[in-house]
Amino acid sequence: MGLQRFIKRSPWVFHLNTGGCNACDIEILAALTPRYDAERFGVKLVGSPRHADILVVSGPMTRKDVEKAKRIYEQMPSPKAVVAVGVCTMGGSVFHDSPFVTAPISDHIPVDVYIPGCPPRPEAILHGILEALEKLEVE
Amino acid sequence: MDLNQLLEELKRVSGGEGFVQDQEMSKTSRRRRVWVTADRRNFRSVILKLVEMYTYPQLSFIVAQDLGDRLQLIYSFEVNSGKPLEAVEVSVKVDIPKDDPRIATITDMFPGAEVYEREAQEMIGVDVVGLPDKRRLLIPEDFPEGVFPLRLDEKGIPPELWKKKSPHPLEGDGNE
Amino acid sequence: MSEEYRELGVSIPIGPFHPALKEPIGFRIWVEGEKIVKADIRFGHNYRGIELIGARRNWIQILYLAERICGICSWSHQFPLAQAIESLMDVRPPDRANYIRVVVGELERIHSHMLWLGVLGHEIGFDTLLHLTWGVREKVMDALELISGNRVNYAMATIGGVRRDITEAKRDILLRKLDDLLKGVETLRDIVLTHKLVLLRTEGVGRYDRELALRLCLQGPMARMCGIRKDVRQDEGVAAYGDLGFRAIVARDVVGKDGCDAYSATAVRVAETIQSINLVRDALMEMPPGPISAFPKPIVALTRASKAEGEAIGRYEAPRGEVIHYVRAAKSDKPKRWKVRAPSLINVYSTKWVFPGHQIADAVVIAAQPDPCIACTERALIVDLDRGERRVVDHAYLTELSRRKSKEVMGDV
Repeated sequence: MGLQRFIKRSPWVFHLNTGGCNACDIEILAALTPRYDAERFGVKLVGSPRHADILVVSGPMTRKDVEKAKRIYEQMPSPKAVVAVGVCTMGGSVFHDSPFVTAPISDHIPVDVYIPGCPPRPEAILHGILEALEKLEVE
Repeated sequence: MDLNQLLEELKRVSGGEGFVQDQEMSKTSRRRRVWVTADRRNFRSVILKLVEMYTYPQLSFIVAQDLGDRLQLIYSFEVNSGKPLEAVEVSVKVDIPKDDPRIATITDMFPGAEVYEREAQEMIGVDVVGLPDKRRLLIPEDFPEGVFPLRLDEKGIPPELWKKKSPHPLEGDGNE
Repeated sequence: MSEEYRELGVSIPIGPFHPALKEPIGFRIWVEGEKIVKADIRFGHNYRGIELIGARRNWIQILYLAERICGICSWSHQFPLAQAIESLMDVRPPDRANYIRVVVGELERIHSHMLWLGVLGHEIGFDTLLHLTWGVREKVMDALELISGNRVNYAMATIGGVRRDITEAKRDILLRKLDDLLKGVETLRDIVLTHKLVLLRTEGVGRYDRELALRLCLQGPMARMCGIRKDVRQDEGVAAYGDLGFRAIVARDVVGKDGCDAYSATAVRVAETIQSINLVRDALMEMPPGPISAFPKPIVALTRASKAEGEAIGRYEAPRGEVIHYVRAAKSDKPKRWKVRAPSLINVYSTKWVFPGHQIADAVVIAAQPDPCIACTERALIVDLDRGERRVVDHAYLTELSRRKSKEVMGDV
């Protein structure tokens, strides 16, 4: 069973929306609910970055959110991984030229896995989180 | 009430110009809009007139825009709301000179207008007199003072704040 | 810290980030013991300057920018913008396009209301409800994917019509899916409107009154829960709603009285979901044949729009209330000014008047009541100024408070 190596661990995920349009956010939530059921991999959404192993970021990082996002990243215990969901995180997507947007988010926090799509499907998000898990495993 | 009658009635109070838009949208429904201009001194009486004619006109929004030589606020109300296929959107346009950008608040009549007036204030830099809460609403605190994003003149966003290029440029993505 | 903070004692900021979903937003509430005495709302964490960059896009491009204002109501922003541009050009979309617009709009409403119901369940510690509703919701997402090819941003509206047709074969599949969906939603309705926990945690919480709702100009389900029968779909008959004889639902039609509280809001939204399913079915059955757009290609629409001049307003009833778009054109391929008003702006702001007098444990329910594109609160910072002590508590604390209250009230009965 190839899946066993994932099921050994239970990664807790903290979700951070840095000014995205919600589309990625509802797909992340959809990934956690019965149809896609991320919980079978032990993935659990937690309410505090202090409990989280993986930070799932969506959105183009608005100016107002930069400092807060950095603080949240620093609050997470190591080892940690960052998964960026959606094209906004990579270059701002349709908002790329806005003066209020500071994408890409890798300028502010280190990103391990990018999931492209506007928004990516829940399957893709699950896949991305599992990729990040492998990174944690290696460390 | 007929749209043209409504327009005449409002024009009588405001002493301004106006026109009616009445377009067909589908077999049964029409898009009805009344636009009227008002002066900075009497726009409140136009709005009061609307309140008199229709109990509780619903404030839709306040548009704040820079027309080049002057600023303009558009107070838009929905009247006849709740009556099937009869709604009319009445927009009152108020011009504000750029050298004296002050205007009275309407929060006494519509407490919900606070949020729109705060937005207008930070976006084009009008000074809403009598607004109880004058803090910034949407723009981040670290954004430079005195820069109003929707102004088209030197008080608008300076060129260096615009991002020049997409971080992953395509060929020919000059971004003006 | 200002003097005001000192005078009022303990303040609790809620947000701006929260884990489960949706936008960052900040609430700050001042408390005396368990009682909230004042509240303030801080917007702007999500401000991307869309109206500003919209002036640098052409008429077709801003349709896709409008779609990305909000992922949950992507249709509800694209459609009124398309309407406003149609109004500028004085173009009337073909009838078939109007019916397809109803289908997409109502499917979006179903998924949005289901989402809200799940979030409400989560807030009051009723996670079974969250998973039940999201299970049912996936059926709607399938239907939207069938029509448009994407689950969330459908890119369906265009100037003068819609971009994709609903073929015979698709229609039959959709009709079958709707039967399935109706069964699921009816089960949910029976659970939600009668469950003891939901009743105890929502009745009397977040109470507005009719007068306040009218004066604040509340929108959508927030107005309809106060018994104000207003709805753009009914009042203006946008798309084919006028042809279908649509009438809005208010709380008293569902539960017999206008409670103006979170329970009435729930009742209105659940009833609207069922109404929407029936509307989609009606629209699919009565859809006339014909073209789906007034223009053969988007480029034709763009050329025509570039010659337009003047101002126009497009309106639509999004799941959360009236979305209204204003555009001004001056014979250019770009808008001179594009203004968007989303209903959540005033609906969320209005909670400022409603927070005082409630318990902290109810704060999350009040914050979620307007369906504000904010649902869970994430991290709260308790500042106790008397002792000069700052204590960071996480979202878990507030949800825990809410859940503890749920347990307590359930224990009584």
